Amino acid sequence: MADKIMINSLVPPTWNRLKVNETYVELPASVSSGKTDGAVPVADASEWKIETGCGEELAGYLENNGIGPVKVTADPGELTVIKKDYTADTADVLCFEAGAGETVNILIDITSDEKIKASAILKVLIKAAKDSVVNLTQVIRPGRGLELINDIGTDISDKAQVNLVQIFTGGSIINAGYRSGLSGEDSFAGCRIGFIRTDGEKLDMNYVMKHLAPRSKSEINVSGALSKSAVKIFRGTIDFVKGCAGADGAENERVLILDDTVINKTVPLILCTEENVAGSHGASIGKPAEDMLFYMMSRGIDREKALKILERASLEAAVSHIADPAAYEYVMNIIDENREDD
Amino acid sequence: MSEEKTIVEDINRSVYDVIDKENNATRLEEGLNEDIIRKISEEKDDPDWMREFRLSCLKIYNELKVPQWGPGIDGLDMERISTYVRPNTKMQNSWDEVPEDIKNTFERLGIPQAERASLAGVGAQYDSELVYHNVMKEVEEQGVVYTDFESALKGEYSDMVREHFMKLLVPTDHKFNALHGAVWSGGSFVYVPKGVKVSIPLQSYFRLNAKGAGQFEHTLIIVDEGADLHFIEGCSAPKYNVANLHSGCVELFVSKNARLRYSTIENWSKNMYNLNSKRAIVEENARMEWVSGSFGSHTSYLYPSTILKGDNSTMEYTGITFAGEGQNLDTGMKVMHVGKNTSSVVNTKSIAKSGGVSTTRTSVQVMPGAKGAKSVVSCESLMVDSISRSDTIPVMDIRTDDADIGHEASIGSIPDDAVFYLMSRGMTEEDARALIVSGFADNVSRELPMEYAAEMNNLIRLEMKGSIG
Repeated sequence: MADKIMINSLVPPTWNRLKVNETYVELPASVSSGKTDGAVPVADASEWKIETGCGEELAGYLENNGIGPVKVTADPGELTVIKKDYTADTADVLCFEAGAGETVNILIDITSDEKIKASAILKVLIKAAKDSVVNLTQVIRPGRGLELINDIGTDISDKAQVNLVQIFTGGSIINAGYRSGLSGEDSFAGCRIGFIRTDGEKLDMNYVMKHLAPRSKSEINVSGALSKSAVKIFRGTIDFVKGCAGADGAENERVLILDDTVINKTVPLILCTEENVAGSHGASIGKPAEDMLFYMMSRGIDREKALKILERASLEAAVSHIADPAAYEYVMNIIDENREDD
Repeated sequence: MSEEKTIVEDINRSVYDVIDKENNATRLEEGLNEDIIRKISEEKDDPDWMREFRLSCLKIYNELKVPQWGPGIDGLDMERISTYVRPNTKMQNSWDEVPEDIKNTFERLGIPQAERASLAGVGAQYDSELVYHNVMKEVEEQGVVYTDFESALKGEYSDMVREHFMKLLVPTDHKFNALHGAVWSGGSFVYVPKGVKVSIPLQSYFRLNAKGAGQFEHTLIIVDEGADLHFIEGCSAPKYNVANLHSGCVELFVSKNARLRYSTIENWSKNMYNLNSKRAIVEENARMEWVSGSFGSHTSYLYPSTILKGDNSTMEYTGITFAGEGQNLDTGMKVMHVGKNTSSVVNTKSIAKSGGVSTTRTSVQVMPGAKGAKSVVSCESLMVDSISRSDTIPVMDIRTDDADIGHEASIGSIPDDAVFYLMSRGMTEEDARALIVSGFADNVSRELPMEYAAEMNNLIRLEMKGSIG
C-alpha cells in the first residue's frame, strides 16, 4: 500500500485556495536502497541530521524504510561523477563532506529508461567546513516513467561556500527540495537552476536559504521554459534569522511561458527578524520578447527553432555557472546531444 | 522639529483614545447565536430576505474554520463580543442635532471640519449605527446617491442593493465574511450615475466606542458607466483592555469606462482585531485605485482584492503598513486578471518597529485567456530594529503565455549614513529616523488629499517616538 506524505511545505503558509502551501506525494510502501560506488554507511547517522527542503515527513519515510545515510568520499580538486540510472523503486541518502580549505566538485547525473515506471528518492546532504568550497552539479533528465524526489540539505561553516547548479529536463513528476543552513559567518550558498518542462511534466520546488550567521550570503537564480500543459511551482524562501546581521539574500526567476496551457506558480518569500540585512527578489514571467523572435527570424531561423533556442538558453543560463571545467563540459555535451536530436 | 497643523489639529494619540461614557439605546448580549441574529434583524427592521440571509450566514459561520495561515486570533472570543450596540440617537443630517458627547468625539477627530473644507459628503458611524449623514446639495443634484445602508436597503434603491449585496464577498469565502453577513449593521451605499464625475471626495468615518463590541459596517459602491468617484474611509477607536472586533465588508462595482479611488487611513486602537474584507470588480476600460494606510489594530487581516474582469481594465494599489509594539498586521492585496489587456500596478511599503510584526501578503493571478495582461508588483520593507519581524509572502499564478509579469521585493534597515547626514544638519537622531521613515512612505502620502497625508505623516512621527536604542 502506498504511503502519502507531505513535502515542500511553505513556512509560513498563505491562502489555501492558491494551492502552494504544500505538496502531497504517494510513495511506494517499500523502497530498496540504491547503490553508489565507493559509498560506505556513516558511522553515526545522528551527525548527518541536516534539514532539507522536502522536510521531515520524507526523512521519516526513509528512516522507516531503513534507508540510512552513506558517505561518498569526493577527492578535493577532482570531479566526482555519480551516475544514477533508475530501474526500480529506489532511495538513497548520499553524504558529502569538504574539509577545511578544500574544494570538492561533484556531478550527479540522473537518468532512467523511458520504459521504466518507478519512484526514486535521492537525498543529498553536504557539510562544508571552514573555508571550503563544494560545487555540486545535478543533471536531472530521467525518462517519463520516473517520479523523482530530489532533496538537498547543507550545513555551511565560516567562509565556506556551496554552489549548486541543477538542470531539470524529462521525468513526469519531479519534486525538488533544497535547504541551506548558513551557520557560518561569511558563508555563501548559491543555486542556479535551469528547467524545461513540457508535455504535462510537473516540477515542484521548495528552496530555503536559512541565514543563521552574520554576513552570510545567498543567491537563488531560476530560469526555465514551460509549454504543453506543464506545471511548475517554485517556492523560494530567504529567511533572515535574528543574529545574522550583515546578511544578504537575493532570488531571481525568469520563466518563459510558451502557450496558454501551462500553470506557473512563483512564491518568493522573504522572512526577516534581523534589522541589518538586505534581501531582494525579482521575477519576470511571460512570453518571449517579440522583437527578439523577430530578430532571430530575420536571420533565417524559423519561429519554432527560435523558441527552442530560447528554451535552451534557459538551461545555459544555469550551466554557465558550473565552476569545474570538466563538469561544465559534461553538461554541455548532454545539452548539445539533445540539440542534435531536435 | 515643529508639528504640522492638520485637519486633526496637533494630532496626538490622546485624540483617538478619548472614551465616551456608553449611553446606548441598545446593547445586545455578548456571543453569537440564532436568537441574537433575530434580535439584530428585528432592531433593524430587516426585510424578510435579509433576515433569512443573516440566518443562513450564521449557519455558514458555524461550519467554517478559523483561517490557519495568518496571525493567531486566539485572543478573540466571540462569546465575549457584543455584535450590536445602538447609540442613543437617530441618524442626523446636521451636526447640531448629533448628541453633544458623540459630536465632540467627531470634532476631536476633525470630521466636521474636514467636511466643511474638502468633502462632498460625510457619513459618520458610531458603534453599530450611523449617527450623521450628509451630502452636498450640488452633488445630490448630479444624481449621486450617498446614504446610510439601511435607508438604501428599504428605499428606492432596494432592488439594486439586493442585486449586489454580498455578491462579490460571498459568505462562503471565509469565516469572517459569514460573520459579517450574519451581524452586519451600518455602513454606506453610494451610487454614481452614468457619466457623473464627483470632483471632491466622499468620506465615511467609523468610530467604535463601546468596550468589547464589534463593528460590522457594509459599504457598497456602484460607479456607473463613465463615472468617477473618490471615496475615503477612516476609522478609529479608544483603547480598552479587552478585545474589540471590526469585520466590515466593502464591495465595489466599477462599470465600463468608470474610475473609482478608494482611500483608507486605518487607525484602530491596539486592542482591535481588524478582520476586514474589500473587493472590487472592474469592467471594460474601467480603473480601480486603492490607497491604503494601516497603522492601528492589534491584529489585522486586510487584503483588498480586485477582479479585472473587463478588457483593458486597470488597477493600482498603493499601501503602507506600520506595525509597532504588540501589533501583528497581515496586510496586502490580491488581483485577478480575467479580461484581455488588463494591467495592475502594486506598490506596498511596510515598517516594523518595537517588536511589531508586519506581513505583506499578495497574490497575482492571470487566468487563461487574459491575453496581454501586465502586472508590476513592488514590496519594500523596512526593519527599524532587531526585535521586530517583517515577512513578505507573494504568490504569482500565471496561466497564459501572453503576459508580462514583474515582481520586486526588498527588505532593509534605515541607512546609518542617511541618519548621520541629517544629524550633521542639526536634527536629533529621533527626528532624522522619523523623517527617513516618512520619506519611505512618501509614495503613499502623495496619493492622499493633503490633509490626510499630513495626518499620516503625523501618525508615523508618533509611532517613531522612542525608536532609538
